[in-house]
Amino acid sequence: MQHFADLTLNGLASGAVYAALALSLVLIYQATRVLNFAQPAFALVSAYLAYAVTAATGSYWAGFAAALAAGGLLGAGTERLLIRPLRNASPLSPIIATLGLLMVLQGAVGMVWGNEPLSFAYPLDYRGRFSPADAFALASVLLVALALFALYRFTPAGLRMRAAAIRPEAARLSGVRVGAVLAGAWALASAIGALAGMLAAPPFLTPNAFDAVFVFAIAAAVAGGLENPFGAVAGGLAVGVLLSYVTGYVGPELTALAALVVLLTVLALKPDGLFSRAAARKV
Amino acid sequence: MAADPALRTEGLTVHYGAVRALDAVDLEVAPGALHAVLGANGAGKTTFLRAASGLHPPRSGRVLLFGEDVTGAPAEELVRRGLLHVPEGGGVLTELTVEENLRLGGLVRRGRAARAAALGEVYDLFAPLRERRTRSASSLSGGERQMLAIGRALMAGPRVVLLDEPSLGLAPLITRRIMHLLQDLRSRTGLTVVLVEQNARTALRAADRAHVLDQGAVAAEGPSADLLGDPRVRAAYLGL
Ligand SMILES: Nc1ncnc2c1ncn2[C@@H]1O[C@H](COP(=O)(O)OP(=O)(O)O)[C@@H](O)[C@H]1O
Ligand SMILES: [Mg+2]
Repeated sequence: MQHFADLTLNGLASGAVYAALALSLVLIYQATRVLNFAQPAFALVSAYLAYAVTAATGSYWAGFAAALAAGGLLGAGTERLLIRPLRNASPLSPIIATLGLLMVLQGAVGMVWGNEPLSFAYPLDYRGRFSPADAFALASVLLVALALFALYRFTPAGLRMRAAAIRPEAARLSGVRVGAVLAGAWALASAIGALAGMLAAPPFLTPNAFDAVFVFAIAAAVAGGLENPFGAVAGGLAVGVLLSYVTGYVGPELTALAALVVLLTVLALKPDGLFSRAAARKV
Repeated sequence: MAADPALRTEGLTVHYGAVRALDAVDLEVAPGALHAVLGANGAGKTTFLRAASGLHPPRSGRVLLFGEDVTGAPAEELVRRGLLHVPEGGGVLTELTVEENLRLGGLVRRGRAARAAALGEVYDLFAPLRERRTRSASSLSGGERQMLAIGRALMAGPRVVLLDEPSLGLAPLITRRIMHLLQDLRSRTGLTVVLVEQNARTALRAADRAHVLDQGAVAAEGPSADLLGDPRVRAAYLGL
């Protein structure tokens, strides 16, 4: 029983990371119908910058802030310079563009910081079962999800974002500066992706550190429904817990396979995600 | 003391690829006027509105708003200068509630108090919207949806409203109510209304003056009564 509780708590903590990355994917997909394959690279660049800033200042939190800012800038810049010019291109173009960006950024990180693992600090004490660091991961992601809900539901900025995503032209006719709003959505989403990177990085950072996390995050985003931020959070936590059980009861060598099984099962049974409502959006 | 026209276009020309959909349209609407733009399906009415409101940049020609050249300004900026375009079908966001649609329209206004006051006025004007404020806009009837579209434009505090076929698909009684409402609005507030209609009879009854478009060019123009009384225009363009 104790083992089960430990596995659940550990699963929730790592699930928080998948949830954050899945959330960033879903926010971008909702806003611009683009699956941003460069998201783990944004998180990677952000985490390496955090490493550099922390090394220079001696403050973990200065690095943390730098990571979120870098994530936001990368997101907004990518929307503006790469995605917006492709708005009228084929649906394949943004996929190829973000995949290309993923490789460029991963390569650049390797060139600047090398491929040797760098030791990366935890935000808080990481010892013990459900450590303060684990609690921080879970709490920060839940807080972000709650803040997002409030933003979308109750603020003018959230209303603009929803309108710009649903019907850009009608939004413009109500005075919404759609371009700026969508860049803002990318910035916000990518800052959340950078948070995921900060949580996923310790204890060691390498240019490929987030590859597995990204696969789990995609599984979570698809399982939760690509258009559903709450599905992303719930999906991320569920994937984390499930993989933790698989690791604990079956063996760590089967975790990746288990993620794949989850993904395929959901796609076969409920292709719009577990939490999809019956009515599809009309464009 | 001739005031600048509320809206004026000079030689407005729009192409879709190689096709010329609007051909040097000159049009002038006095402040506070209710001005109709008529024409058969495909005549270029929607294209004219889209070019005037900044949704579709014209190939050539100018758009002047109260004497100020706004050619090439994007639609979202023209909203801030008081030019509101209610597109064909209303452009209501059916994923949002009625009130969210209206609040969206009011976001260009400065200050919470001004937004709240505008919301109250729109609800006074359209009682059915107040009753359905928390409902999804997708639950509205066609007439209510058109009210919501007009209400959302009014939320921005417009000086000029462009309406694209607000009567499309509505019962005659509802259409008449909307026409009365527009007339009432402009006489109370001095709002300038440009009304695009295929239904010439309805529009000419409400409007002071009208332009008739044919294949992208102006085929006739003048006071509504004159157009209604001109047998050539009636037969060739108005289908009356
Ligand atoms: N997006 C578009 N691309 C190409 N041609 C268009 C487009 N929109 C309208 N047209 C053409 O331009 C002409 C005018 O259309 P429109 O302005 O919609 O007319 P109306 O509103 O009077 O029915 C029509 O011949 C139509 O087929
Ligand atoms: Mg039309």
